[in-house]
Amino acid sequence: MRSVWSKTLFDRRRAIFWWSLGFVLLTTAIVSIYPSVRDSPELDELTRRLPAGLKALIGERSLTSPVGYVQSRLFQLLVPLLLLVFAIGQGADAIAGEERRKTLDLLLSNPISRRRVVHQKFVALCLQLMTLGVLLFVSLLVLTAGFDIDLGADGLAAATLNAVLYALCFGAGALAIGAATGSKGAADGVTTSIAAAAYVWESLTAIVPDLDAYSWASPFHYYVASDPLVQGFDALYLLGFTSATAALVVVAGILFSRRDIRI
Amino acid sequence: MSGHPAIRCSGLTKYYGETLGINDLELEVATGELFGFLGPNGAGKTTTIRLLLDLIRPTSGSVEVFGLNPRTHSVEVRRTIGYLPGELSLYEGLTGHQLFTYFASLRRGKSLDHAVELCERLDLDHSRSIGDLSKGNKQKVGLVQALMHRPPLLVLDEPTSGLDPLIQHEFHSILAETAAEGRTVFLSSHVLAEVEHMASRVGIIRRGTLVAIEDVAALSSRVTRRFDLRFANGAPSLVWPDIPGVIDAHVVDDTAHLTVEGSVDPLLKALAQHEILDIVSRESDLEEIFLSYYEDEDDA
Repeated sequence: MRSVWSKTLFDRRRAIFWWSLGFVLLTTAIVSIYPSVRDSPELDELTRRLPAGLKALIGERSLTSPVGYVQSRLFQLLVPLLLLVFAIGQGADAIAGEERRKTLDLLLSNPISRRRVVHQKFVALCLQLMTLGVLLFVSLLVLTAGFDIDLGADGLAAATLNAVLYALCFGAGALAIGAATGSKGAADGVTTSIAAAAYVWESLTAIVPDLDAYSWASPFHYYVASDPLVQGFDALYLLGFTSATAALVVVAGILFSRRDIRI
Repeated sequence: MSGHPAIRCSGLTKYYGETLGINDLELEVATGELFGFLGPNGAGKTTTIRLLLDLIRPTSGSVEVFGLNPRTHSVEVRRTIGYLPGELSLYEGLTGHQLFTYFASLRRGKSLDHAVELCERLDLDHSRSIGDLSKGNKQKVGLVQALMHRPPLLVLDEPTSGLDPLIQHEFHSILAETAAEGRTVFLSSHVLAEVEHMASRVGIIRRGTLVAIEDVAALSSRVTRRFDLRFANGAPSLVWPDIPGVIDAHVVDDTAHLTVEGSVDPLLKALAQHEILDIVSRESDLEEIFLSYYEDEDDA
């Protein structure tokens, strides 16, 4: 426990353990069902008859193909959703949570700049999300091999990284709002609402042809657009998420340095 | 650091929106001084302290710590300060030892050994989880983390709240040693007796305004004490107001109820001949002293 980031990880050790366990179990459950899904062609028939809008919500591909199954069951919603919950919770807690617990006064009586506190809290968030990401990737790798599911490691790694960076961006947003306002509720609420709106907007633009031109307005659009599970790494999108995240962290540091700490 | 006072506030004003924190505070604390900052709760003591630490920013006026502005030299200023918050909140999931290790690392110092020494002096088990400690023991954790890096300036907001008298005594001797080493102590309290015994000078703050800065001796002369003296053979027939210092007296049966200002020595001398069964002594409360300063201001 030598720095703010390592102390934050120490505080989170139990939570990280349980989240990791949850991720592994969830992935195992979902992937291990796949063989029975693959052997039921009637499911494919059913999805083919679904209206376009619903198809858009669950993903375009055949549910019984390996890519279609993993995309629709995991990466379309569940993985980003869980990572978002984790990242937003942690981002909101980073500064605003500590402020609400009134431990921030004592921490900031030490010779450490507020910017540094923000940056180190962000590092802790990165490391936690990366832990979950690596576990998710490794479990998928092992499970797909074990159940003889044909998915490239490249695609799995790209899809996982895509989800981690997407969640990290929202985590940084929550961190920034918390750092700027000192309100954990605002940080949590605003960021969660934006994440939910982003998902809804992307789904709507996929269903309603008139709205298709406005799909750019949803962050979630950029999450699905690069199709990483099939296309692999796309530097442009990864760079986009990373830059947005970096900008939010910089803003968090600046705004946090300017305001009064609540008592 | 030399040449500059430890603390200098000039026209220091802080509003929280419309609410006044402190108004036009003029204050200078010399290096090596043990300064008492006295005022009732909500008077602006904590506001002043948090301005020193750059936790909040002044609305107007300036504040300097060893000649540095906490706003522009935040990290440097905080390196010189050991701070005990008035409303102490600690990391409940850590043990005392883990907390001291953490803060020692943030200060890049080898202050952990001194922390262990302080724990022994204050009788604190630093291997226990802070969340499991009593209020008094948590306060000790707060004191140790403020003292452990031997800061040139100690800023203590209500330091003895929750400490039992024996530990308070030990704490006072630690403070005396600190001052003897030439380090500065800024001690805030709403308890007159504490500040009176420790500090050389006292600033009195009320409703955000500094009412007076006094030497402790001058302050003590304003303090009135009340005595209830019960005599073995009935209250002696003395002309009470003739005894220097006695400003009010009335006798009921065998008990004299007296109010004494300043030294009690003349009274004790006057009573030396009489057998006294019981003495009850009460210090006048802070509010009365504040009022006496206020009346002075009104007169002026």
